[in-house]
Amino acid sequence: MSGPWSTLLSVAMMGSERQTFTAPALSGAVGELLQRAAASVDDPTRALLHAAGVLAVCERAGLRGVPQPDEPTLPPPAAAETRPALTTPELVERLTRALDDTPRRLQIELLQRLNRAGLRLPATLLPLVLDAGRRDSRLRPALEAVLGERGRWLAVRNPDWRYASGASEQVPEERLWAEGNLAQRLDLLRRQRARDPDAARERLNHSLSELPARERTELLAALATGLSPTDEPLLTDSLKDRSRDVRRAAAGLLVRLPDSAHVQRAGARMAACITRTDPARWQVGAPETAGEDWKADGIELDRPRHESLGERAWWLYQLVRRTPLDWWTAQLQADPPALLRRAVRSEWAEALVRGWHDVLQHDPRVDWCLAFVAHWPGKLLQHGVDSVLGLLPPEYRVPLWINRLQRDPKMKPQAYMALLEEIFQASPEHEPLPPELSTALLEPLTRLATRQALHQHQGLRAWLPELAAALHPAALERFGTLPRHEDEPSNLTETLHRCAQITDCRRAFGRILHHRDQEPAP
Amino acid sequence: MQPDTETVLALAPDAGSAKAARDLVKPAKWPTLGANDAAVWGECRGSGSKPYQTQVDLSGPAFRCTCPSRKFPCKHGLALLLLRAGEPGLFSPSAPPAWVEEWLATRAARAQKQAQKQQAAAPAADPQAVQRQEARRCARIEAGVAELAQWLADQIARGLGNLPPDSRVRWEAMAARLVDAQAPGLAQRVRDAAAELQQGPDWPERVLRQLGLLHLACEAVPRRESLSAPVQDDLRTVLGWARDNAEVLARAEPVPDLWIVLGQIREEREPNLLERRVWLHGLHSGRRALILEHAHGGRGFETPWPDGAALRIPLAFYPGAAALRALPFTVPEAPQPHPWPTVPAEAEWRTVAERVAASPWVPLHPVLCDGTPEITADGRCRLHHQGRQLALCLREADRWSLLALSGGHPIELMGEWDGHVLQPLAARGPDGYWRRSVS
Repeated sequence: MSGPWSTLLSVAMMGSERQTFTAPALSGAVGELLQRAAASVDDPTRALLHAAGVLAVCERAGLRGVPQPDEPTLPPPAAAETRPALTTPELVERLTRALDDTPRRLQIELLQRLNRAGLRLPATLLPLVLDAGRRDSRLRPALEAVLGERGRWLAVRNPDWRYASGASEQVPEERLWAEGNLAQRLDLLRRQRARDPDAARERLNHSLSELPARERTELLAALATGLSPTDEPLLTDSLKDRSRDVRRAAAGLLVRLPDSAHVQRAGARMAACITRTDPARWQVGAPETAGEDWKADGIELDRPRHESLGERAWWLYQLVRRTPLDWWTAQLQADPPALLRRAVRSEWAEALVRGWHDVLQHDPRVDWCLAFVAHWPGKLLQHGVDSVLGLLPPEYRVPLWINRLQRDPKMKPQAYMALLEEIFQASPEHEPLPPELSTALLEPLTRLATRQALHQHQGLRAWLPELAAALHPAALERFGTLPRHEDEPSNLTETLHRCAQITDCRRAFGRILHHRDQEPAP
Repeated sequence: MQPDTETVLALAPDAGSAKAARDLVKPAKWPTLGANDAAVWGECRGSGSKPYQTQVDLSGPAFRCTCPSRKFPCKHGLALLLLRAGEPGLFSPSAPPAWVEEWLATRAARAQKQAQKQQAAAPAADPQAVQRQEARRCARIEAGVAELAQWLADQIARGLGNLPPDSRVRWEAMAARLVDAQAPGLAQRVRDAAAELQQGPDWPERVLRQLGLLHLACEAVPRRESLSAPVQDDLRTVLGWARDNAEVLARAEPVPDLWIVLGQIREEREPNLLERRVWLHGLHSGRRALILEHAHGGRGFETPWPDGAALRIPLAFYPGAAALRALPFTVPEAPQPHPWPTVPAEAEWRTVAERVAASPWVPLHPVLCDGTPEITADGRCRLHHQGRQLALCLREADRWSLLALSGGHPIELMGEWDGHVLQPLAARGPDGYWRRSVS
């Protein structure tokens, strides 16, 4: 309670009929005024109310907050900026709207363009952008680059925006390993594997027995980075782990160490299944019985309940998935396409193909991936072709897609949409699709638009804004000139309007920022 | 006058209408669109079979729409203006259709008739009847004030710490009796005090302050004849005895100046009653002015006062010593962007003090000050100004946008000051502007 009020309040709370009020003695002009007011009123209750009124008015006239305490409490201001802010009003407005309800690709692209132009976000947009990054973590790398000093300063002050405060996890590694969640520990392990693989393995080895099965599986998979023969002992031990997932993970990693004892044994068992009628012809058979030493290597002897393979086929599958792919090409003197073609016609096709597919997931080889894509075994595998496509580096995927698009310009909406989905899933969000792919995508799309087939498949219509955000800038203009029709349904008009807004936005940013950009203008 | 997106959104009666209008900004929904210098029009596909016909007379702006919405302006009118601001290419310059021409013609005729009526002398009301009415009101007010004075004494006599648990209801009943006594201003103050009962750690001080101010009014009413005319006018304002706009305009001397719009705020006082306060600074006179308006029943406010603009317009100040509330003599037009005035801090606070001394019941004072905002770890906001800390009243989202503008550096701030807390309405800094968000 502040000074002058304490006298008034103690009486006011108790009740003036219980406690008599006497006006507080204050110095200065306010004190004089209070005395004069007290003198003019005889009834103590009225005197209290009168004094309260006088004090209230004097406060309103003269109070100006509270004085600063001696130690300064104000935190230091943001450091000086190193980049100029985006000031063009049109772009600020477009960016504000884009952060509301557009594909993430577009948001990332706009932020990246800002970055490449050497600009930072204007201060007025910082809360909006930081909130967007809080909701959507995939936006964070792009936005962190253009926050500027003020953005980072602001992020430190709001717990919701800690992710962007720069010196994020300055927590020492030991503490992070002991107290962090699984995602943090996984990230730590991967980073350490990149720097110092042996130390990372030792760290994992040390904690392995205390961790639950799921964590053992995921952390073990981190050893994929920087894998070397020195990891063999730990992996071989993990083959005896009580969790099946851990055993599988270990086996998957071992398949990349051809000189390991485990793989040597696997090769020997596999060789036992191959019969050669003559040097050029070979046949794969399934084992008659399971060997005694199989269990020690963690080979699953019992097939699961709803497994389509028979018992012997299952055993063959287990052997195949522990054998490196190189073994086959070396042993049988054939290239992957030939092997695949033979395998598909073989009696044990499913076991072989599934086994190779599994190995491919752990050890993607371009030649085998291409062979699979070219001769997709179809119903033998439960996965789609994107499970293999995703393993290929981009320079291989793109020509395959372009090929499919060019082979079939009269694609139906369903097929086109499926291909779009595949492309989007496999393409990173932080860069547009390559120009040749973009151009190839427009051909069937134009046909569909001409034939008024775009709205027939609702899923396709939903992908169009994403496409507008993903196309290479060189193809944007053609996308904007898709044929339109008088009687097109309103939801298609709405979608195309949204697409037009997205392309306008991209072009505006490209045009206005390009003179600072290193890239040529679209 | 072609309004831009922000101005249009400011015309919305509430946030829901603004959002609904934004959702309608889709060319697919508007089969017809047209515009010329005087008006904008279009047909909007709605849920019915016939599209709605919407039109806006830009010289207002004034809206008309055939949709059944009771809000004003409706979302169609707002959407039409938003489309015009965002995508002018969609509007074919064509001759307006019949339904637009008719309405514009009717409006022009009506405006002309009203101008003629204003010029013609208004018939004087019967002075004796007016006097009798006023005397009756005065008598009721005096009785109400006497009851209030006794009631205040009763609360203090019993003690604020000994109030029964249903005090809030009882105090609201007292406020209702004051409304019956035709003193709605006093009633509102009693309601405000009731709302603070037992709210927060220092509620006794806050409530006592308000009761003290009410007591001063109760003391003043019986002695009003001995008070000066301006103070009597202020007393009338405290009582809540409203003044007719026409009366204010007739009595006041026009004060011409270039008036800079410092900041504004829209608040819902009661369900369906919106209040808007616009604070102005006269560049040449250095005076401050408050445009206080109310809108009922879902209507928006017609006159836009763009933030950061200056308008050359004569104002009519309400009578009273406060000299704060004012009315524009004519409809403001042609706003020009204008920087804020620089007023030294001492002079600014002195103006507040002098205004309080002249007119103690003014609830809010416009204050321009520079300082550095801070959000403490426990979520309080304050401004570091001239070696002191002022408490700031800010909503969650506004805090961060204000802090972003400041970056820990001093900025210029304009807000409403009630003696203890500053509610920022607008701010300027080297990196741009900040404005209190609408909702």
